[in-house]
Amino acid sequence: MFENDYRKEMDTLHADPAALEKIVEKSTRQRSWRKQQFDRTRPVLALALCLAVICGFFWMPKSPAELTPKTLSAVSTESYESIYEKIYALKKNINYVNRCGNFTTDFIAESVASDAVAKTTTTGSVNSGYSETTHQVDGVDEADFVKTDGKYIYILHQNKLQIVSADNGQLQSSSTVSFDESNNCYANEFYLSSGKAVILLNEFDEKAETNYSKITVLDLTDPKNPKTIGSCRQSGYCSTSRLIGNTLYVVSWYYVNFQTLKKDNPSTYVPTVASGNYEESVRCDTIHFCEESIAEPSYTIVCSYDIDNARLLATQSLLGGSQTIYCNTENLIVTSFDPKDYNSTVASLFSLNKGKINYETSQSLPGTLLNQFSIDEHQQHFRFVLTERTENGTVNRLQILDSKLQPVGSIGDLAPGETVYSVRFMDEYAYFVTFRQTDPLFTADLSDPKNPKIIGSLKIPGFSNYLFPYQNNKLLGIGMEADEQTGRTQCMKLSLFNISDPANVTEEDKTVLSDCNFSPALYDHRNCLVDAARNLIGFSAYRTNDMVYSLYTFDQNGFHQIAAVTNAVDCMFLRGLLIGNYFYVISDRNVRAFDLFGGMKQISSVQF
Amino acid sequence: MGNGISFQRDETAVLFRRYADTVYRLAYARVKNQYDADDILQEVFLRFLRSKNPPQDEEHTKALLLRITLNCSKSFFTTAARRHNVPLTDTVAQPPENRETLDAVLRLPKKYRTVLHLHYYCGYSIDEIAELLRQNPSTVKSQLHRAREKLRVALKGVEF
Repeated sequence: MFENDYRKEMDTLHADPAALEKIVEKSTRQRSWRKQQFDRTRPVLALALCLAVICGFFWMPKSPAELTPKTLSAVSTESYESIYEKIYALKKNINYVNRCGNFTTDFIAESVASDAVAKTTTTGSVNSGYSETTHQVDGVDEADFVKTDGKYIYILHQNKLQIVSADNGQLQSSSTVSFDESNNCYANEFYLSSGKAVILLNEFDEKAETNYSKITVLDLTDPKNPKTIGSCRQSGYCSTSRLIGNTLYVVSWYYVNFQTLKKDNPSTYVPTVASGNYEESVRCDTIHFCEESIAEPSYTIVCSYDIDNARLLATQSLLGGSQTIYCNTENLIVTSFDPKDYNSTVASLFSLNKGKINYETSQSLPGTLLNQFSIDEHQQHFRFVLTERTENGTVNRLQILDSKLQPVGSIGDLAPGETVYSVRFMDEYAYFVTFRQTDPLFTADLSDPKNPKIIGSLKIPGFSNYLFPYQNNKLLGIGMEADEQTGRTQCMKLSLFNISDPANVTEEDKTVLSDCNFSPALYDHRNCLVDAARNLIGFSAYRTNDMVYSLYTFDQNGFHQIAAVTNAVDCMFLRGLLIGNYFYVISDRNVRAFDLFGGMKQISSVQF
Repeated sequence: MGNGISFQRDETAVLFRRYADTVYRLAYARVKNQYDADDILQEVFLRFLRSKNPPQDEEHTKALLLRITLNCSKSFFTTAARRHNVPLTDTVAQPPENRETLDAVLRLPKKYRTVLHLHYYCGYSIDEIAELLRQNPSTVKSQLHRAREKLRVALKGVEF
């Protein structure tokens, strides 16, 4: 019988569980809210994208010889009219739909900057008493939706900030701050700093049909009764942010709305910033852009805020989009696609100094970046790991640039046919994983920036999505196990690499989580709890029918799972935290406390 | 607002898990390889989320999902990138084992594969398939007829 045979054979096919979980995850966070906002801009975006694809076809065939870094020269604009002409030309010009260009605006309240930041260099240091958000650079905090100050756990979920007292495992709800004033405001992430919470919100202004990134500062001195100190806002969606001391840097993306574009009204095409009770368009005399990469009628706006007083310090913008952003205490690198060649990345450097932002220079690099960990700065040199897509498949490249983004040294043509899956720079060494069927973990010696060398490669099946330095001379990899023959991913795995001899990295142990097929920790480093001092590794993962939060430890015998917390079927784990001797698991419904030294017994829980 | 969203989300997650394989298998029958089928699966659910009036009952939800799958796989075939590239068949990654019938179906032209799948796998009647494909029932009927004839040759007299 045909029908039976066909059914039987068809039933052996299954959707990739990882792809499915990704889409479930995608759909569950913020989608319903965003849908509403994007409705008007979507036709414009769609048109832009179509043109981008068309243009892309004309530019795609590039000979490898052309793939070298090239410096872009930025100029500043003189008046709003000239910006208008640029933007209007983009509207008319069929070739416009590329990305990038640069655009700078100067300080609004420069004088406030200096003293506000000078005294607060200590807050970023690692505190062993409780977990901080997993971040890339020490001293540079990254926003998250769960944070703790050691006494309270703060959870920003569904537009509400829940404040839960942790008190040695005795959880108790203290208060809830709701940001649901109107449907057009949505709280994304937040920071904690010296008794204050800084909430990052996206706001949609229906009248002007534009988006704003709003910053609201709350005073948490009395956690039962948090008070709002003040708000600021800047044009555009908040794409990322960093907190250095008590200076907050926010990068947003503002798309010019052609439907409301008016020449005599600069606020329809120039981003605005608001602080206290004034709101104004950013000044034009400091606006920069790169003629060769001007493309898209959008801006990337970088603003700095003094969070103690909820005040704007400085603002700068780039004309064009932004993808990956790297930030350390002195420099901010914003990258975007090169408009002329989607296979290239334009890196723009801003120097940060106590709230002041200065646009320095831009550089076009061949290849695309994986994530923020693909960029690093060490001793005045910027290091990038890029994947180039050529006619003959992919190749990977390590590029070293000096403090002015001029090329110094590079290693090209690495691992042809493979793609970068994770990168970690550690001082003079770079570790990165490329993958097609097996996982070479490359070690590069960068001690001589002019002459970087690959000194080792370890081939093992599967790949790591994130690499974390762990204890002394160890590197922890969180990733997927894959079939060596086909390269198809199978399940999650944890690997611990011994890097005491960088030229000869070995895999000390690995554990394969055969029932976990996907995890948010594979694409969001903040989901990984890595506490090397206490020897604990935590992350949440999807299993076939539910989600689990696993806590692992490592000793001479290898990895050991010390806890696996499960929840109701469709409950999502957000984060795990350590405070003192207690371990807290936060999901979208509840917080639960476990005793680390008491057999992981659940002590209390709070629902919300 | 909070409750509304979480309720909607749970529903969505459950719904996705329930229909993932249904959508995936139709997409597979259309595009013939697992990677593109996975892509289409994602696209289908995204489009489903964006639909203005999602149906309330199961039968209509399933029909809508299948309808979106047909559309997605159709636009998939007509995109420029697709026309400029050689399609990847599953034989590269996964040597077919014991799937003689399925492979025979996959060798048929797309329109025959689609009606066969909808009829024999999804269990739709000719009228229902006609509605789903926005075609005349007699067209569907003759396509189904020809598909069976081709299969009889390919599978050496298989019975229906």
